[in-house]
Amino acid sequence: MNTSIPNTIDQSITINAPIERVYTLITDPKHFGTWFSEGVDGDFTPGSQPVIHEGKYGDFRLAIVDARPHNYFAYRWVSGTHFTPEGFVGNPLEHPNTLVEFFLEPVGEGTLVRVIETGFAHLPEHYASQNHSDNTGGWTYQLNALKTYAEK
Amino acid sequence: MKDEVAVVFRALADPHRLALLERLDPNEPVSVGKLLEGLSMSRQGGRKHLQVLSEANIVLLEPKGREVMVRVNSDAITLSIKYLRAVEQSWARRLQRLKKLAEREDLQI
Repeated sequence: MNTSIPNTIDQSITINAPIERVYTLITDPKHFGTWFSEGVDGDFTPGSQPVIHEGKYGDFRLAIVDARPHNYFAYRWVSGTHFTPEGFVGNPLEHPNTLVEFFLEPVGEGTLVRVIETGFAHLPEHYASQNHSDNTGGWTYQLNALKTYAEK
Repeated sequence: MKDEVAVVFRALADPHRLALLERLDPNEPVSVGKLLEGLSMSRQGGRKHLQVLSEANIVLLEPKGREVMVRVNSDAITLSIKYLRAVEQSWARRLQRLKKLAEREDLQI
């Protein structure tokens, strides 16, 4: 089966800053704790399991997978701030988790950052069963949304 | 209703099942026979895929006379889309914050 859909989030952004600088902001917990979360306890070397604080969403433990200056950084976590209201600080590797990968490449004088998060199809049901309030949008709209994910 | 996102994702992670879903009109239940007509998958394979969709609550299989009707349950899909949207939005916000920070001239790192 050649598809893992809808199993992936894939987003990119171009940043007008050198790749070394962007890499540091992503992989230094001191900086990560300012743009991603509200602070971090622990370090980001591969194999370590720091805890990030996401304010009202709770704390989340990361399992750092890999860090290759200045092009790649990856971790696993049990994520989904809207659907894990109390956070998740257990060992992510012992639970169904998602893999977050940052890919950096120089573009002119700036940096292209691409984030891919995969593994949603493996999350257990109860992590994602919250807040089913409104139910708008037609069938075509929904299928198109699915296709968008599928074609990424 | 079992509105479970992961089950929906798993069930949809298959091109045959996506193809079945695309053939379904959300306002118009259709018989299993009619739905599978002209598809490249075997009847037995088609039924198996429908069973998976049904277990994920994406479709409802309703006996009607000698037929089984297939009805779309769009609630299950809606919830899954909302979940991915929420995750996407979180990432979009984070990446914007990263960009802002990286481009700040007064930030020494």
